[in-house]
Amino acid sequence: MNWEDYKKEIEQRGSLPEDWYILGIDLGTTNSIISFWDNNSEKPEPIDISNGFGKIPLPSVVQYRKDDDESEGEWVVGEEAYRSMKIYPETTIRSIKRKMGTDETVEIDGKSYLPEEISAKILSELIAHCQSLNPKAEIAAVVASVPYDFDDSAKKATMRACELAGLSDKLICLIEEPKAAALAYNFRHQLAENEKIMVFDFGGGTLDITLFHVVEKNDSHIKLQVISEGGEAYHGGDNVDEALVEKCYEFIKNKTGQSKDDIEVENQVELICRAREAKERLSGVKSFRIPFTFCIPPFVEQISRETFEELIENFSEKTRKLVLKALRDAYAGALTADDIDRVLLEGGSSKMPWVKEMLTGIFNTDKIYTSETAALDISLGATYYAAMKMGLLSHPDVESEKVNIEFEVTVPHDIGFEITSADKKSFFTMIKRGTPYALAKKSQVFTLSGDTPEDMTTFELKIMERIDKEDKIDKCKLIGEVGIKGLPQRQSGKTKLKITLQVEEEGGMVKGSVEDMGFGSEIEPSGFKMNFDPSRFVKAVCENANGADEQP
Amino acid sequence: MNRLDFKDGALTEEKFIIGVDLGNSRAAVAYYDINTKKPTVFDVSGGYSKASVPVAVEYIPENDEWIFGEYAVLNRPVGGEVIFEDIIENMGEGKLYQIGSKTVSLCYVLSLFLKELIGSVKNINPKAQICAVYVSAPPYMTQKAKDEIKKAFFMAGYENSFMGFADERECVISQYFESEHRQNRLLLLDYGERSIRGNLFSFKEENDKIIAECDLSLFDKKGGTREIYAKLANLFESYYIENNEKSFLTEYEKKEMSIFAYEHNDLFLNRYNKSGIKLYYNFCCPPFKKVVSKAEMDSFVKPFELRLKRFLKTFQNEDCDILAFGGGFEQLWAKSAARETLGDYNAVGAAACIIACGACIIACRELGIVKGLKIEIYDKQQIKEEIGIIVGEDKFISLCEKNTFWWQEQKKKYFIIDDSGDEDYRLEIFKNTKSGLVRVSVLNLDGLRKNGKKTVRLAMQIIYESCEKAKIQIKDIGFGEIEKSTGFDKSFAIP
Repeated sequence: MNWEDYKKEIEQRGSLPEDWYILGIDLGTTNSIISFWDNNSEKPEPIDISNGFGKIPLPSVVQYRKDDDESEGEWVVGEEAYRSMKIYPETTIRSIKRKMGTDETVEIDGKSYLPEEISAKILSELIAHCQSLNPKAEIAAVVASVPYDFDDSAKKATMRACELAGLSDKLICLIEEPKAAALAYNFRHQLAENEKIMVFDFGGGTLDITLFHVVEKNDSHIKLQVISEGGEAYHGGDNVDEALVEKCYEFIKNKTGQSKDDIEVENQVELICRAREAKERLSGVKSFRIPFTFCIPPFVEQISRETFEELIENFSEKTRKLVLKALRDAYAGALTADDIDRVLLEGGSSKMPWVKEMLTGIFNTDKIYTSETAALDISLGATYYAAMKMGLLSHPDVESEKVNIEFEVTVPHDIGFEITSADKKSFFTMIKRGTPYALAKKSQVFTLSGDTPEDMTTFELKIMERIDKEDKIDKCKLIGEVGIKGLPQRQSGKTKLKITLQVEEEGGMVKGSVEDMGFGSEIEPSGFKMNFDPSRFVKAVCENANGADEQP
Repeated sequence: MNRLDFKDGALTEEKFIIGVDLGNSRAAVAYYDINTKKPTVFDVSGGYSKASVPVAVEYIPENDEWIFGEYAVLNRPVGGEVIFEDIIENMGEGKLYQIGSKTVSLCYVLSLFLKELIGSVKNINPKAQICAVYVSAPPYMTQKAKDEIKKAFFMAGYENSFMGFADERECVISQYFESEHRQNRLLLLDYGERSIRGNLFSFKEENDKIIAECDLSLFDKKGGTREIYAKLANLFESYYIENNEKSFLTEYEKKEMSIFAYEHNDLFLNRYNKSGIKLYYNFCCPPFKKVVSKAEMDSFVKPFELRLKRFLKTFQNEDCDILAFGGGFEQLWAKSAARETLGDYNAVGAAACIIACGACIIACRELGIVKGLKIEIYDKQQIKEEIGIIVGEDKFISLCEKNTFWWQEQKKKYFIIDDSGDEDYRLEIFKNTKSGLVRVSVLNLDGLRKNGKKTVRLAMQIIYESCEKAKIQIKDIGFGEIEKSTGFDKSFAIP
């Protein structure tokens, strides 16, 4: 059964059977979390995947172990993999989310793995934990989260990871992380009409800054509109760790004369762990001693919070600018910091004291709210969304759950084509950033030209995504190539093609269609009309089987 | 803002009514959520770790800095740092410490911790006003300890919101009464850091309150988790020593080992049911892995398991609901042992949190925010009438602590006797009853020397043999080198 079949069955039965699980997954850079819809409490509950560690999040660490050439390798995911990174430094993979949507493969035991294949192992582990909670568990539906700023390829890679983890027909959709966080927060707090909330989601890999405006609110309905979106897909706690690791190399160089290349891999991993530990501890203490036990002679170096903050000054300044930019982008710069009612901190990196200080400098202290369950909100929000989609959301005791929630989310990046004019390539915008998903569908008619009528039967389309407004075509990211074949043979300039691009409302994936429009009253349309689903790996082909039979 | 502001019943998102479970090892806070209309645990970690925090404070002289909770536990002292643990256990003693050139009281240290703990509620709502605070206390906590804790709350700035103390059991029962399905009898099992306690209650409604009468009470004084953790730390250390062929540990190794033990206790005890565990000693060079087999883990846990089962057997045939709480019941082996002995029981999730939630409910009930009857605990195992003597004209001095349990050791008290008169020594013993002081006995202390110099010093201690049977032990302890003890040492039954 796919999720729609489960939904029908639930509707018919009038309740959710005990063994059917509706899940929300936060596939994070540092940690991943899975929650399920608890039918008894009628709210999402996180699954404690720590086996009693007291820590609900599963470290997004994947490790391959093979003791000798004869034995079969073993994949280890989560806390165990994180703790043994130093023992298996070469086959431990961290922060794979940062590579989603790229072609960068990981080489392990002679095989190449794409980022989505590694992510699939994390997803499988999460699902296995759900099944250990209830061996009879039947996965009915899943919503997985992605950063708002993820490009199309990264989103598609996440979908692929879900497929590889056996969730293809259970995945309802992807949900943008700030949307999930806002959803979870809304169920705990009563947001007021006209309130403007900035969700500052600062994770291990990504910073998502999203400004929501409560545009409508009454007893039965609340509408949250995204009025600005900012942040950066590769700006998170990992960057801070990297800066600290570099500092550690500097300490080693000064004390022992050893450079990075002289240090063994396991000790490089040790430094990564120590840097992360130092970062976390410096949130609570003003100075921390980092031991370098593997060095000869061993030594201890003290790092103060002040030094640490100086070390990441450029990074924190960039973070501040990203906040200001997100603020500026809302309502064409009409908003000021005073207009924001609350800034909601989500994500582990928000715990660093400088983050709160920086935000306090922009907004007032009494506007900075930390979520009660910052680590879990995205997964809980994804579960709420899944439950909403499955028609289950109604809690008689909870005021806010009586309310129907509507989101108006906008497209984060410009979507368009690569076009060539006078041998010069440029980006042609089809859907502008900031367009609400519901309106993110645009058609454009192009006139096709070619040297011969044969040339007129094929057409290549490169669908692109412009991440930053100012990016030139060479910096734009490829969403996918589409090969159109089987168009009628006509004279050059006598074919008009209507190309439509659309961003799906749920998950924000780009899809499209191409249609032969003929040539005004002169040439009738051939009836060629095909949909395409662009992918960065496989060139989509739209081919008319009966093509090329029309003569000019 | 204080608790009186709730007279109009207007509770907003900014007004916080909180319950605090202030244990000796960990503390937890719950607040009343106006959306769900239920007490909600305030997770200090935001879901990244445990909701409760270690009750630990550390002073770092280098930066003149105080650090708290997990940060204090993980930042084990290596230089001049001063770490405060077992704070609650040491309350009531008026303890003072030298921090650099300053003398600070333990009460002040606790106030810093409370300020940090409760103040962190402001993270989730920067406009939060702490309007009412109820604090849980173990039933055996002395009045002096309570007074000192109360003072710490005042010093932390909560003098207007502090409402009082509630017996831990009252907190748990209050939370139990929030559930729809409940029986008239309830067994509370508390597997704490120091001891295992079992209390079987029956309930009856009387006027405007519920009387929770404790019918059966059992106490294993040395069965707490502290002993398990201490043995486990030794085990972890032995693996390290074995691997590194060491005969002793350096200061650095000791510090790392204590952190290692803190971080791995749960892993070891909670993964017990799986096929062994792997421990990674990353802090040493080179790092190494130790695989602990299930058989090894079984043999480690066995004595504790037998002890727990023996304890639980007393309650085996009781027809009642069972609520198991306390950190010990988070351990997988303890959960299975309880199930094997008692069958399915009502396991209550995060141990520390049910008490905090219950304290929050009590605060809300007293403020009229939630409905419900007051729970009054009647436990005949607790001392309700003080036994003491009268000194001077009419000053009653109690020789036992009210509300403590009969099996708890009462403190010795020392008196210098006025031996200037001619008559024999007579000591009148009184009970402080509801209707006033009642003389219960007159003791004849023949055999004590008289010299008229006020140099006869006596140590007196009440010793309970059961909740109904007590005796008083009186011993001449002499007066230093001047007057040696006569050897007088007698005990007298108190009717």
